[in-house]
This record gives sequence, C-alpha cells and structure tokens, in this order.
Amino acid sequence: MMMDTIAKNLSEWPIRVDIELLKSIQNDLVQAKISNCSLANELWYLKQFMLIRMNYVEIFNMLQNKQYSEAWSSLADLENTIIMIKDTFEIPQIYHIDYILEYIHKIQKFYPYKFFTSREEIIKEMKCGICGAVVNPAKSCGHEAGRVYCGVLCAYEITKLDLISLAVVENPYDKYAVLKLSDKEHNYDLLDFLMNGLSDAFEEWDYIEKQVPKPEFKNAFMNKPCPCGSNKKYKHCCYGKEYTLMPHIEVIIKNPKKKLGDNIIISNGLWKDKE
Amino acid sequence: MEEIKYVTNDIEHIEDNYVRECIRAITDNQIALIPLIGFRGKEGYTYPEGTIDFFNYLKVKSNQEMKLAFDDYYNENVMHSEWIRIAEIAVTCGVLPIVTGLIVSFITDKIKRGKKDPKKVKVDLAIKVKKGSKTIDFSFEGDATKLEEAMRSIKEIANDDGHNS
Repeated sequence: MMMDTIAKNLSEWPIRVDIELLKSIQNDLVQAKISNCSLANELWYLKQFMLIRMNYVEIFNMLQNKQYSEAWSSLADLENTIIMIKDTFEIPQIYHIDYILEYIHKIQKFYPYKFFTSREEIIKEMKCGICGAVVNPAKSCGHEAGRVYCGVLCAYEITKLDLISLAVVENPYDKYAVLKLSDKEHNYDLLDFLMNGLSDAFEEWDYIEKQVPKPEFKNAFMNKPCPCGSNKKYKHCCYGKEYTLMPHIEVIIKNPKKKLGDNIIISNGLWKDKE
Repeated sequence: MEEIKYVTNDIEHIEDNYVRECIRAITDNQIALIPLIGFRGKEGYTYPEGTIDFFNYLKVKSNQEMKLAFDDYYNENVMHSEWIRIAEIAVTCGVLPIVTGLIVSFITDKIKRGKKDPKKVKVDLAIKVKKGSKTIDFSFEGDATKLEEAMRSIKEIANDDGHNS
C-alpha cells in the first residue's frame, strides 16, 4: 500500500511535494535497513526522488528571492545527484526526474557564469564509503560507487590527493567553482527577467536562442549611409557582417500566470560594476 | 582515418618492467589496462579519472579476466580537458573485436548519460594489440562521432598485421 501511495505521488502532474509522505518513507527506510535489504534499497531510491522534487522547489524559491549564487550551487548538487542515480538506476519516466534535469539545464543557461576554475590532480587514495577499504579495481571490495547497499549509498571518499594545477575553463565537470572578479559582479538581468515571468517551480517554459541585428543596424537601408558612420552605403559596408548581430533569447512560458507587459530587456554582458 | 595512428613495437623494447611483463603474459581471455607513467612530471603510475568504472564495465560485459598492469596501488589522474579519456588497453588479436565494441558502447552510454552532443565530444584512447613478440600500438584522438569507424579500422589494421606504421 505504502509503495503504491509513493508511486502515485511521484507520478502526479502537476508535481506535488508531500512532506508527510517523505517522513513516512524515511521511517520505513530505517526499519527496512534492519530487516529487509532489497526493500531498503527500493525505499532509498524513492526517498531520493521525493527529495529531488523538494530540493528543486527550494531552489526555485531561492531564485525567486534572487539568491542566485546559492541557487547555482544547489542546482549543481541536484544535477549531480540525478546523473549519479541515472548511472545505476533506470528511473521511471513518469516520476518526472528527467523533466527536472531538463529544467536545471535550462535555468543554468540563464546564468552569467561562463568561466570556472578547474583542478588538475592525482587522486592517490580513495576509500569505500560502505566498508572503508582502499579502492583498487584489481582488488575490489565488492562495493561500487553510486550503488545502494541495504539502503545506504556507496560513495568513494578521497583521502589523499596531490593538487597539480588550477586553470580557468568554460565547461567544467565540477560547476561549483565559479570565477569571480574583485571589482565586478555578475549581471543577473536574464535570470531576473526569467524569474519575473514564472510563478511556480513546475511551470512549463522554454527558450529560443537567435542572432538578431543590433539596435543601431535594425532599421538600416541598403542604399542609405551605414549606421557605423563610415559614410559608405550600408550595402557596401556592414551589411551581412557578423558583428552587426547580437545574441537574443526568447522566453516562451506555456501558460503564463503573470502578465509580463513589456517583456523585452537589453542586457549588457556577463558582468557589471560593483555598486 | 587521419585520427588513428599506429606503430609496431617489440615487446622486449617496452621500458617499464610492469607494462612489459603484463603484455608478455597476456593471454586470449584477458584484458589489461596500462597506466600512464609520470603524469605531469610526477613519479608513479596513474590511470585516467573514472578508470574504475571502465574496468568494471569491461569485466561485466566482456566475460574476460581483467588486469591492471600496475596494481600495487591505484591512482587516478584528473585533467582539465573535457575530452573523454580511457585507460590504454592491452589485448590479443582474438579479444580485440569484443573490446572495440565495448569501448564504443561505454563511451556512447557516457555521452548519453551526460546529455552531451556527440558532435562536440572528443575522445582520446590507445590500444596495444599483442601479436606474438610484438604489439601494434594504436591511438585515436578525435570526434566521438568517428569512434565506431575508428574501431572498425583498428580491427582491420590489426588483422592485416599493421605493417604500415
């Protein structure tokens, strides 16, 4: 009965976070760890699916409150959790976890975080989170990272590490280490714009990326002077040149609950001066 | 294929004792993973990040005996590069078709799980194919979309003895 209730809740649309149900899963999990390992494993996964939904709502609330930096780390945490579970477990489509992962990636796209620090290192020792054995595939302890053993997730703990170097990269595996500048702050205009249009965490929305003419070239005529001020005709000057275009993101909210009004903003770059 | 390079070497000329002995001893039912020696000027043997997953994957899917050429301790090197890197593999010609198929499926799964565009993913790998007292050493650096074709070429070259290096 309990399993049916959980599955029903996880399959519901729109997604509803049931805190009481989560508490009872937690209680059952504690019991099952002692008496029934396969049930404990099943409950562990169900608990994670509930937590993923709950955490996503919390992140959405952070975004609504403009706690963008904190929300970024939580998004990365949640993304890593989902990818880790997907590595070892076939998540039923009806639980909407892929939907949440898709929206995590969409929200990340609206962040001005494009540069990160990345470590080069030698991991000299890892220990198994279940039995404490030193990890060596040739002398395996039998536990694999990412798998669940009697309701407990196996993770490897890095116990010895040599840091070799740090670099600035654009697409790191580890998204936590966002590069910050001492005299600038990130420009969150795009996120502000998006969050102003959204009313709840599970509202459906999408975006289209385009290249559109910069405002000064928008109404240029072929046979008139070029807007760049060269005194040449536009068609003999900047017409068709890539630099006359700028990136444009169009946000589409499926069933908007808010009236957006004049929903065009012009945002300049990833950074702005600190106030 | 431009992305594939290969050269034939005598096993006796392999400098590192562990690697030489491992390849000399390798049989038709084994797959060995070869460490990188001296990562970024640091002494010691390291395997690319995540080798443990690759090792377990081959172990389960190939039904072959898995070995690490150096297994006294297991160190992983972690690089900035976004490229998918897997540990160098040593096999006999008989096991090569199984291994090449598994490399393709392992990397394809990895790309799919990471929700990455295969057209933007680069792969770096190397395979030593043992043939008597020699090895044909293959390396592939290129787009993930060309991986399947590369593995097919490696099998063909290995079967043709790989004399043209």
